[in-house]
Amino acid sequence: MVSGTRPPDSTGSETAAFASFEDFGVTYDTASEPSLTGVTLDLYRDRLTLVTGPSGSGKSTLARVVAGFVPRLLSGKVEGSARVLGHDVESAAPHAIIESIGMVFDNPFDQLTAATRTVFDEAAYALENEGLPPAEIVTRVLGALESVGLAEMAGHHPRRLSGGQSQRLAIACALAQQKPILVLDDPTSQLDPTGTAEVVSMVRKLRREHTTVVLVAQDLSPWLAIADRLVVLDEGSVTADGSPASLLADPEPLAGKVLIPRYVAIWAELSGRGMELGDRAPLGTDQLLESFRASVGAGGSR
Amino acid sequence: MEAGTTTWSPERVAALYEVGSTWLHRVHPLTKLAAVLPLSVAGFAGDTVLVPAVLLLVAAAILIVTRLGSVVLKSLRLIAPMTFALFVIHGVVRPYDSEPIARWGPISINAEGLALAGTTAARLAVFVIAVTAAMTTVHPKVFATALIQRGVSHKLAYAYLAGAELLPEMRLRASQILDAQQSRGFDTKGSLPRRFRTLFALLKPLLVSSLIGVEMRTLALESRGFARPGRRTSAVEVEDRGRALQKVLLLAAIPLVVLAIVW
Repeated sequence: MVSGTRPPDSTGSETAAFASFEDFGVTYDTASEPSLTGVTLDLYRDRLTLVTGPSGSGKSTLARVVAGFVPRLLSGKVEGSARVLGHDVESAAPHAIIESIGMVFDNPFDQLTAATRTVFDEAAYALENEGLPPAEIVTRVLGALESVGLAEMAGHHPRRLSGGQSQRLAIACALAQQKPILVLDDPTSQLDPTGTAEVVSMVRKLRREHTTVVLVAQDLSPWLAIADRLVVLDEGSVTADGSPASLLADPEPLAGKVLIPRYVAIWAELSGRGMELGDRAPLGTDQLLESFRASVGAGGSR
Repeated sequence: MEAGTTTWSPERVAALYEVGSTWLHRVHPLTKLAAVLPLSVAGFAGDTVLVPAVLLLVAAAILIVTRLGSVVLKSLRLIAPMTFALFVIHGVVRPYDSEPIARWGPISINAEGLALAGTTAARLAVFVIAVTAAMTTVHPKVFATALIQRGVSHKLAYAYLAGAELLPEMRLRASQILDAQQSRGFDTKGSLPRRFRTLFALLKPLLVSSLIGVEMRTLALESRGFARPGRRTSAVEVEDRGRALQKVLLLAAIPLVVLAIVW
């Protein structure tokens, strides 16, 4: 997508960009090949932007640039420019970006501090580092745990949580810090179906509350129904960008770069065989069934 | 809020701390820490087992009477292997000039060695019981908060808290790797050589996953303001008291050190 243009989303409304990449590239100091190259992209507030692509395509690097880790903490050679929340990612003051954007990693356990004995203390850790008064810490933490459904477990040891609960705790840590933007780096990749459902439900709730989310995922299936936009990366470059339904309406060019969800593959196959299932790809099994029922009810098969 | 407890009913997980409301739980965490020093040094006063033995007996009696008998048991568990090793090294293995009190073939037991082992074990036991009593009655978070309140770096406090969690963390990681290996058909039970193979098969993924975990944890900590400059607060309020007593305890260690050297 060209920088500054209107975001292709389901509502069609225009919002401000919080991150802008202009011909941006980065090569980590420890790597010989660039992880990102020639990326031109705007990311908008109050949207769920879904970033996908094959392994090594630069998804996590993009997430880490948005979260302020690259190149400030994970150093590398930068080309072009990238601005997040008005700060140039290369010259921003330390922590200027990091303190405003919440990051949830793929591993549910390694992202915990490993220095706390209770779920409450884990969520309070960042607020203590901010120097907030104890009463405010308690209010904010209990509120954040309540909103992710972990209030009952405030006194439990973080190590006792399941993968899904740990991811929700990581989200609660960001919510307690009142970070308006969340970057989730493949948050369900190490979870079982129950854990995945918990996290998807949590993100759905956050979106209803208008939290801005940038979500990296290789498996699109759980996310398409709530994504406003799909960005596909391959070999460090943006190769497709648009609304999920329009991009997946023609899944052929995305093959090999995107794990096409089964419901989209079935829709494409049936449409290819002449069944009238509409022009927009389904964004979930429910939508596929709905199209199928409508088609069968209307005698849709040619 | 009372020093030594938190509002959030923390669970006991592989650590010394026990929730309670004994007199020792109510003592300020840093007073307990300050008391460890003179107590431990006092154990070294005099070239005899008498001083540390009396200190041990008095400490154990006070702890048992005040419903802290678990401290004595925990200390015994910690001291027992060390004591056994000391008696073997000094009483049996180490050669002495004096006549042994008993001899079985190449093994001889020497009174001088037994006395040295007993004195050393008693001195160590005084230190262990003092530290165990302090750690059993102060929640690590409360202890770290008290340290930060007195100007200790929050990074040092983090190192203390993370250190206390290191062992259970590594145990969990190792058990996850073992589960994964077993699910792929790797036999982790059986003969000694097979168990050694299991150990080597565990070490590499344990090391690699720990290193990967360190990078992610570093980023996660940064995201939570670990390196942020400025004042820290704590959700756990620890009343800042007992400064005078703490100073007295620390100063009391000085003459005791002198006594331990000259006596």
